Order: sequence, then structure tokens, then C-alpha cells
Amino acid sequence: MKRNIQLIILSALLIFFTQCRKNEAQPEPEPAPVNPSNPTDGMLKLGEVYMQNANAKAVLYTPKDLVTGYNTIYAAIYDSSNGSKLLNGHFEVLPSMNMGSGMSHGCPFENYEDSVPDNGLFSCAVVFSMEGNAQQWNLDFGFHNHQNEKFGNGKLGVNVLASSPSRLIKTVLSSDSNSTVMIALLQPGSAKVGINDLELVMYKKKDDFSYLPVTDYNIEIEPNMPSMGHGSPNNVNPVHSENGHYKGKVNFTMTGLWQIKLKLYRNGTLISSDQYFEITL
Amino acid sequence: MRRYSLILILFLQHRSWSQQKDQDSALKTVHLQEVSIYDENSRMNQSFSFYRNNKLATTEDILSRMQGVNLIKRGAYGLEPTLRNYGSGQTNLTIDGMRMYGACTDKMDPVSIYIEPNNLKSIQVSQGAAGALDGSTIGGQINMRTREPEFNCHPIMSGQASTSYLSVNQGLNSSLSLEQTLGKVAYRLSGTYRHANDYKAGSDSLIPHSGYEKANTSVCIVFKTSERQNFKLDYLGDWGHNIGYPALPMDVGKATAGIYALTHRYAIKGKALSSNEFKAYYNSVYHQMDDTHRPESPMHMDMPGWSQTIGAYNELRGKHDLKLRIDFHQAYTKADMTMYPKNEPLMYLQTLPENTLNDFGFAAGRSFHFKQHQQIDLNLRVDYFSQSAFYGPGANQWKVFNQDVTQAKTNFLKNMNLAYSGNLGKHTGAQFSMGYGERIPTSNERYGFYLYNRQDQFDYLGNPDLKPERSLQAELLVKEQFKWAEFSLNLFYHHVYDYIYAYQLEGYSQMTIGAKGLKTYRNIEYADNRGFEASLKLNLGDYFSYLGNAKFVYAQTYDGKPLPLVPPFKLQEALRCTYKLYQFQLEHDFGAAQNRVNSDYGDKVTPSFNLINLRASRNIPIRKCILQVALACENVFDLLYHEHLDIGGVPRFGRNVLCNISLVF
Repeated sequence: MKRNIQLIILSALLIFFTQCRKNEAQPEPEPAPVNPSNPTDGMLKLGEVYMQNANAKAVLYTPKDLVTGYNTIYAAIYDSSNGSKLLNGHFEVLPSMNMGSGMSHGCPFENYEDSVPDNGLFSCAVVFSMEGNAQQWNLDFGFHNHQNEKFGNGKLGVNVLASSPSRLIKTVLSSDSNSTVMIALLQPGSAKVGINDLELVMYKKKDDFSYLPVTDYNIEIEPNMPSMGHGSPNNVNPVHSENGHYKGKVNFTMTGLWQIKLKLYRNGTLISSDQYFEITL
Repeated sequence: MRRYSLILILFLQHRSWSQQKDQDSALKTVHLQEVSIYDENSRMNQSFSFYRNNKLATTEDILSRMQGVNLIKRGAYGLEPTLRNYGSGQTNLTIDGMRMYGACTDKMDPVSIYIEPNNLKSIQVSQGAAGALDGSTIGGQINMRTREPEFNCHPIMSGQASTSYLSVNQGLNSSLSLEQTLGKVAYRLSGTYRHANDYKAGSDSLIPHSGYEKANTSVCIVFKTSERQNFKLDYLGDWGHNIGYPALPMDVGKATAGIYALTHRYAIKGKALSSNEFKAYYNSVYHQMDDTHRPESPMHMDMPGWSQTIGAYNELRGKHDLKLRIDFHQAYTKADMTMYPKNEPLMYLQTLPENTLNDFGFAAGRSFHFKQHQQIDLNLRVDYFSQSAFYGPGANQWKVFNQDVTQAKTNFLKNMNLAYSGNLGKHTGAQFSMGYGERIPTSNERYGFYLYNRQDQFDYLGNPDLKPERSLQAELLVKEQFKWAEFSLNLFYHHVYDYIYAYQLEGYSQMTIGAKGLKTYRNIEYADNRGFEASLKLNLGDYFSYLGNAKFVYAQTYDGKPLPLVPPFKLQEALRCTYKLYQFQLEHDFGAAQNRVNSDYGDKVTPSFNLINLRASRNIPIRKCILQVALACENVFDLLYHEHLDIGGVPRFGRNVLCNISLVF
């Protein structure tokens, strides 16, 4: 009898304590690291370009569809005669938009000094200023092959979709000598609740084909949920790091639609306060 | 690993207990008796037994008339009991010694709502550190004991059926309880159904969103394995539906609770008053707020809350009021909010991030008797608490404040109470006690994320770095007892160090639409609570008796600011006339004005009031049954009034005619 009672109590205990909820919760898994043997895993293939003079072929990838705003483009470059991977050279891009009836213009872009690519992939970035099809948007990729010290280039038409919500602000700042300014949102790419890295890049139009990075602005951010009218605390205003890039932190306290309102200052003067990015979590 | 070590500890404890039993089994059997250090007729329960007789009283009515107990009211239902001015985090509200936590971040669901009067055996109230034997506390403990079947030699079913009607809200309360002994098994079943429409306050003003509907059931089965030991299985279920909270911006759409417990009790043979009780329990609450009946709500939102507690204790009692207790409980709480803006993606956040609280405790108490009825009672308790939030959305939200809430916060709490009692004369007794108590911050105070407080219209952010509150206490009780009268006066002074107090976070915006800003908590240097409770009971001849209770609390922070929600002076008196099988009762309640308010907290000055209630009942024996008919008129003069602890100053019931018929068989 005694033993029975003990057993009953023990088994009751066991039942109870195995019911305990997940008190030993596990941390969230970190995002899977890029597969070093195949860094283009999961990327979209944009196309291939033959750069004859450099004796090179570029296979182009993007993480996502090209959209208006900031896009990073990766290139795996091969020797066009023996197919071996080229790992030393300068890769560059020059975008242009054919508007029809002889009109065309460019958009901001970034090419990098580094001649040895990370993970065997060369990269560049293009800030598409509008949507367009492959007949309209043309990317002229160039490669200076350090193996044979020759330069070659080739063109690729690409489709550019409108980012939604928009990741690009185009505006004319009357209080800054009526300059046309583009601000693109790099980070957060996919925003999460909590602290997010914030990165913006800002350009001023010089002429139809050249844009200069803006380095002398002060940017204040104000995240806001339009349907509730509240913000979020402890944000870090983005400050200029290099080449028109501004880095800070933006915080989201819940999921839903957020606006990141931008206040732009130059030399202490408020230039603009009505621009914002929208982000959906 | 923690889980296994727990089982081991309990197992070891259980082993030592069974060894004890071995030694005793050679001795002859004695009847198992429930031993309680609380006497049902003790000071604290005087009001209980007096008002308990009244079939029309709800658990909350009874609570409100007990010494030192006050109720924070948010609706017609679900009043939150406080001890003096200690709120839910500072007191322990338990059912049969079980810990249970509300699932509602707005404190709409105090544990007391699960115990219907037909299932309530007694309410044990212990003030201050004297109530810390079952859990660390600074305010005290309210333990509600449920009824259980009594063993009978005949398998005759007995029970009670009761139904009441309230005119003020067309309320209908019906309850039924049955109990029976079948050999070595006895069971008790009870069920209650309550339905009420919106009530009328004084002067015919209808209070919208104050109706409710709920059902409650309990099952208690006792297996007697021998004369000395038994097992008890308890189940209690409670289902609320469309419960209105006029003082809050939302109602409760659905609230369900389940309580499960297994108890083993064993009377140690040959040792009078010695017994051992082991209980394992689990309870869960689901609570869903609802704004669909509030057209003024700017956006529809779902706000559910969850609470689950699992625990066990072993309690050994012996002579000299010896009590040794070891216990554990783990509580899981979570509350979240999903908002549905028009033409926009939905918004989600956890207002109370998923979190657990683990508590290991050990308590010991006994009394020492000296000459001339002098006595010293000593209680000690230590608790080890560990609290942390889970990885997930709630913890991510907190990163915004550079806080990693998944890091466990651990606290080691100590409680002690020492009471000396002696006789000052033939009719006079006195007790002086000194106590020290601690309490940990609640999960709301630690992890709450933009919890809206209707009282001051601020959003509240928790503070994971809060320290426990520590309280030094002194109490003096003087009691005079004559044949015809009984008088008691209890004076208390509590000095609370690291008192948890809210302050505004400047430069931070609110989240709730219409809120004024963001507040959080910090430990302030100290706060003082002092006051008294007095009671007078008179036996006026053969027919009349009188019971009067007065209570008063004066509380302020170290810099002289009144604390919020401090009840003003209150007098509750009743004159009862018992004549044959009739009983008449005249009640008078006086609530003084409260002019010392904490305006930072949105406390408003409350005017005084005088309330008159009348009750009458008659017992009619019918064969072996008793039919009791009761009639009452509460708030006879239809006064429009509210008490200071009524959130939002929502007026209370106007004139209310109640009738009740119950059959005891």
C-alpha cells in the first residue's frame, strides 16, 4: 500500500512536471551563413554578359528582383576561353535608361576599388530611379582583367520593378538650391521587431548621367505608425560614413506598417521634413 | 536539468515523510482530522462567519467586509482584493494554498472570482509578514478554502440548491451543490450560473457595459485509503462570457479557467495535531478582451492573455502550531495584442512577453508557550525566485530598450515574523508582532510592454532591473473580551524599502491611442503604511447582535506624497436580530472622503457616503430539509456613489432588491 501511494504520487509528479512549458527556451537560430562553396545559392540569375576585349564572361546575380531603389548586383567572372574563374580585376557598371525618342538618362551607381572579390563574387550597386523593362534599362558591365591587363565591356537589359513600399525617395529640395536628390533605403532589408540597422544612401543629381554622393547632411529619423500615431524609442540617427551612406539604428516595437520620417538638415538648416520611407513588418 | 533536480528534491522529501509513517504504523489508528492553524472563529474570521450566513452575499461581498480587506472595482464583476493598500503583486491570493496568476494585464481576473460562495469554506486572511508562510509577501495572504465532502455513514445525498434574483441588473444567480459518501469515497459537486444585465446606479443611471455571464463548476472527490490518510482530487472550472468592465476601455469576451489538484493527507499517529499534506496542482487561465461592444474604440484589437501555473507543496504540521513547508511553483504568463487597422497590415505585439517565474520556497513556523498564557509565534520563510522572458517577439521588442529580458533575474527573498502575545488583564489580551517581508516585482512590473493604465491614462513599461520590495513591520493588537462584547483594535506600521513606484519617462512617446505618455517603475527609497482596524461585537440580549468594523490606512512615499489607491476610513456595521427562524439585519456602511490623493497616478478626490442595506431571511423546515427565503434591499436610498478604489469613479449599484430561495437537503 505504502509503495503504491508513493508510486501514485511520483507518477502524478512526473505527469505534472513533464507538462512544464518550454521553460528552457532556445535562442532563435541565427540566419544560415552564406555557403562559401556556392555563394550564389538562393540568388536570382540576372543573365550573362560576354566582355570580349577582356576575354571574360560575367554571370550576374541579384539577391532579389531588381527594384527601384538600391540594388546590389553580383558577378561571377570566368575566362571565356578556358572557363576558369577570374579572381583579380576591376568590375564596374554603368546604368542607362532609354526613354524613347532619343532621350536617355542614368541613375546613381556604385563601383568598388577592391580588385579581389569576397567569396569569388565581384559586386556593384545600382540605385534605379524608376521602373522599366529590359528594352529601357540597360546595364553596361565592364571588366578590367588583371590577368591580361585588358578591359572589355558588354550590355544587359534588365527589368526593374517598382519597390513596394517604395525604397527610394526622389525629390527636389528647394531650400538646397533646387537640387534633385535621391535617397535610397539599404537597411533594414527585411525589418524585424526590435533593433534594426538603418542605412540610407543619398545622391544629388549633377547631370542626367552623373550623381554625386551627399556627404554633408544631418539626418534625423522618426519612426511612426500612421494608424496609431506613436513612434518608437531609442533610435539612432544615421550619420554619414562614406560615399553618401548614412548609418544608424531604427527600432520597431511591433509588427505592422511603419513610416520612417526623415528630417534633413544641412549646415544646421532644416532642408526637408516631409519625406518618409514605409516599412511593413 | 532544473526540472530533474526539482523532482529529486520533492522525491527526497517524500521519502523522509514515508519513513516517518513507517515508525508510526505500529501505533493504533486515529481519525484523520484536518488541522489548521487558523481557527474559523478567530479574529480574522469573525466577519466571515457573520456575513457568511447571508445567502445573498457573493464572495466579493464577504471579502469586502473582512478586516483589512478592500476591493478595487473595475466592473460589476471581478473585484480585486487588496489587503490594506497592498495590491495584487504585494499580497498572495491563493486557493487552498495554490498559487495562481491572473491572465489579464489589466487585473480583470483576480483569483477570487473562481470561488463561488457555495464552494467557499473559509477565507483566511493574514496581514503582512505574518501571511508569508505560504509565499513571500509584504502585504499578507488571502487564502480561500474550498468546500470538500464530509464522510457520512449513510450513502444519502445531501446538498443545497439556491437561486437569487437582483433587481438592479436583472441578475440571476443559481447554484447547486451535491455531496455523497459511497463507502471509502466521498464526493462533492457544485455548479453556479450567473447572468446579469447592465446595472443601474443610484438615481436611475444605467451603467453601460456592466453585464456579464458566467458558469462555474467544481468537483471534489476524497478517497479514504485508511482512517489516517486520504487522497483528494479537485477540479474547478470557470467560464466567463461577455463580462463588462465599465471602468476600462475594453470588456472581456471570454475567460476560462481550470484548476486541478491532487492532495494527499496523512495524520501522524500517536502525535496529536500532527499531519502531513502533499499537494500537486496545475491551473490555467485564458482571458480574451473584447472591444466589439465599444463603438468609440478607434481600432479593433484582440487582446488575449494566458496564465499557467504548476506547483507542489508538502506541509508538515505538528503540535505547538508547528508548520514545515516546502514548495515549488512555476508560472507562465503571456499577453499579446493584435490590431486591425483599416486597409493596412495587422499589427502585433506582446504586451506581456512570454515569461516564466520559478519559485522554490521553504517555510517554518511554530509557537512557544510560556507561563500565564504568554506565547511567541515565529514564522520564517525563504524563497528563491528566478524569472525570465522567452526568446521571441516579446524579447525582441525589449531589445529596443537595450534590455535582454531573456536573462534570468534571480532573487533570494527572506521573510520573518515574530509575535508575542500575552494577557493584560482578565478580559484583555494583546499581541505585538514585528515582521520583515519581501516581494518580487510582478511580471507586469518587470516585463510589461506599453500596458495601458486607465487610471492615469499612461502606458506602462516594465523595468527588468527592479529590486524586490522589503518591508519592516510592527503591529499591535489589543483585544477585550466580555460575555456580551468583544472589542479589538489592531494598529500597524509598515515601512517599505525599495517601494516600487511609477514615474514618467520623459522624451518617450506612448503607444496607446489617446494615452498621455510613457511611465515605468523604479524603486524609491521607501514608503510608509500605517493605520488601524477595529472591530466591535456586541451580544445584545437574546435576539440582537451587532458587528462593527472600521478600517483606516494612511500611506505615503518618503517625500510625503500620498500613495495611489489608498482606501479612506471605512466603517461597516450590522445590527442583526434573530427571532426564532427569522433573521433581520440592518447594515450601515460609511466611507469617508478621500482627499489625500496621488494626482500623478490619476487618483481623484472621492466624497464620503453613507449606505443603508436591509436584509431579512427565514428558515422553513420541511421534513428533513430547510428552505431558506431571503429578501434584501441594498442601497435603500438609491444613493449615487462610488468608493475610492472604484477605477474611473464608476458609480456603484443603486437600490437593489434581492431575493433568494435556497433549499438545504
